[in-house]
Parts: sequence; C-alpha cells; structure tokens
Amino acid sequence: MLEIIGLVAGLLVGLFAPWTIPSQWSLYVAAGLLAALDSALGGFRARIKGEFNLHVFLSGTVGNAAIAAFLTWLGQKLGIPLYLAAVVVFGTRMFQNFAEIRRQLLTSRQKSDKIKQDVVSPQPEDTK
Amino acid sequence: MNKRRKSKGEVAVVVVCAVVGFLVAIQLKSVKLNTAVDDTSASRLETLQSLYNEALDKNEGLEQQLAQAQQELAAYREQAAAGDETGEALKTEIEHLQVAAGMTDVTGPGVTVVMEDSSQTNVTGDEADYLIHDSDIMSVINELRSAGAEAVSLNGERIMATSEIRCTGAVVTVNGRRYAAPYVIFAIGDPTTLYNALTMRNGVVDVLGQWGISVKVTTSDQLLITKYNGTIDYQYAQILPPESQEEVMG
Repeated sequence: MLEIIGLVAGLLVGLFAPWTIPSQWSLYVAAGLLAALDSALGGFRARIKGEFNLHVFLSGTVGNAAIAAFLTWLGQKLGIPLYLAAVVVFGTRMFQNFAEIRRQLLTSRQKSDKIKQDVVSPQPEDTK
Repeated sequence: MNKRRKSKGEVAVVVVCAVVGFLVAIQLKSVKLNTAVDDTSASRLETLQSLYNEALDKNEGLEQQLAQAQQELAAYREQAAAGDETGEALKTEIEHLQVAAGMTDVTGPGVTVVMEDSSQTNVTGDEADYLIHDSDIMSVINELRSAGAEAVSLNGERIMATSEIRCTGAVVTVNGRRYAAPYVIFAIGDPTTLYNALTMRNGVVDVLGQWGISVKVTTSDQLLITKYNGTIDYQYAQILPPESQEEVMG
C-alpha cells in the first residue's frame, strides 16, 4: 500500500516540478527508470517473500541504474544500441518478479484458507 | 531490532517507488515537450516558406522589369533595322534564333505529357523506386526532342539549351526554379510522331508504367509555350569572329 502512495507522490512531484530532461539525456533517464522500476518490483517481491535485505536492495538499485546508464553511454560511443541489453534484462526480470509476487500472494491466501479449513475440520489425516 | 530493520526496508522500497514515479512523470513531460519542439520547428518551416514565397514575388517583379527592358531592346533593334536591307535579313534571323533559344512565346500543335508519382503499393521497400526522378523527366524530354519537338516546357518552364533538370530532394530544379510532381511537359512538334515516340513498346511510358508511374500523353492542336523569363548571361564563352573560327578548326 505504502509503495503505491510513494509512486503517486513521486508522479505528482515529477508532474509539478519545473524541470524537464533535455532530449539528449532522455535515453539515460529511460534506462535509469527501467533499473529503478526493476528494483522497486524486486524489493516488493523480496519483502513479500520475507527475504528482504536492505544492503542487497540498495546496492542493487544504485548499481543497476549505474550500469544501465553506463551501457547507454558506451553504446552511444560505440554506435551499438547497448541500452537494449538493459531493456531486455530489466524487462525480463520485471515479468519474473511480477510472476513471483503473484504466486506468493495467491499461495499465501490459499495457505491461510487451508489453515482455516484445518481448524474447522480437525482431521489432519484426511485433508492431506 | 528486527522491526526497525523491516521498517527501514519498507521506507527504502517506498523511496525507490517514489523515484520511479518521479522519473516516469519527468520523462513523460520531457517527451511531450520534445514533440512540442518538433512542432515549433514545423512552424519555423512555415516561416521560411513564406519568406521563400516573398522572394519569389520579388523575383517576379524583377522579371517584369526585365521584360520591359527586353521590349525596349526590341524597339531599338527595329529602329536600327528600319530601311536597311541587310538589317531586315538580320532581324528575321534573330527572330528565327530566338525561337530556337527559347526567347519568345511559341504556339503550335504538339503533345502534353503529365507525369505523376506511382500510386502502387510499395513492394520493393524502396520508396525511391516509385517516385519520378530527374532522369525519368529527362528521358521523356530526350525522346520528345529525338522525335523532332521544336519547343519544350516543363511545368511552364521553357527548356533551353542551357536548362538543367536536376533532382533537389523531393523536387526537381529547372532553370534554377523548383518544381514538384505532377510534372506537365508541353512539346510543340508533329503530334502523331511525338505521341508514337513516347508510347511505343518498351518506350519511356511503357518502362515508367512498370513502376506504376503514370505518364499520360495527349495530343493537342494548339499549345502555348512561354519564353524563358530569366536572363541569359555568358561569362566565360566568347564569340569568335568568322575568320579566326577557321583557324581554330584547322
């Protein structure tokens, strides 16, 4: 819940902030944005699964964004659209993260259902 | 301790979410702004277009001045030729040469050729295959001349000995002026010969038609081809007197 509030707050701040990005930096921001989006989803997933580690999260966020920006820069120097690497990797990982979040949420609900069931009908041998 | 850690993690994720939102918003705004900038350059294009049109108008005014000067020159010539036998002969020769050089309006029977870009769907992937090129226009004009066309104009621009037909981007430059498709060619000559020369099998019209470029040829009894309305100015070529001509050739 808090995550969504944070997202909306960021959107509002961005919309009403007086700055814009010059078009030559647009690609870097897009790459950084993808990295940040991936980190946010990854962090959310880790928190749901209960394996969240602040240091892993922060280093991943900053590091991924830096590598994405660096790849974009290098790609522009070399004439190869290297930022596509970031797009593909983060894109794929977003799907993976989403899948895990989905599974975690659904199965936790099923588990709680099952626990309730077990409480109502105390026949552990049959339910198995 | 554990709880504090958890809340710290929560805060970190929320902060990253906020950063994501911020970046999304800023990026969206920038992309929108950049498109707006493109629109601005479009309006700049319009300004340049109107400036160009103004220059064209000015050019037209100068052409009128030129026509006036030419009229005066003709009057002087007539005065000089009046009452003089050799002068009369010279006058007819000048008139004759003026037709050949494209310095006078001429009328007569001939053909009208209208060339339009292809309306076919692009299958080769190369858009240029389906557009009219300078070489296409030149091959049509060349064919007309070969069939005995005496005067030719392209979109009202007289084709003279020094006329260029050159590709300049999406348009074609003729006598220093730019023209875009459709291209209308007038040619004065024997209508049947001209018509047949263009429409023969494997001829120009046939070949261009394979790309879907439409070339319509119609014969007419009366065509008006206007004169070249610019100046002819020779900077490097000099006229040799007849005696020295023989020396050079020998």
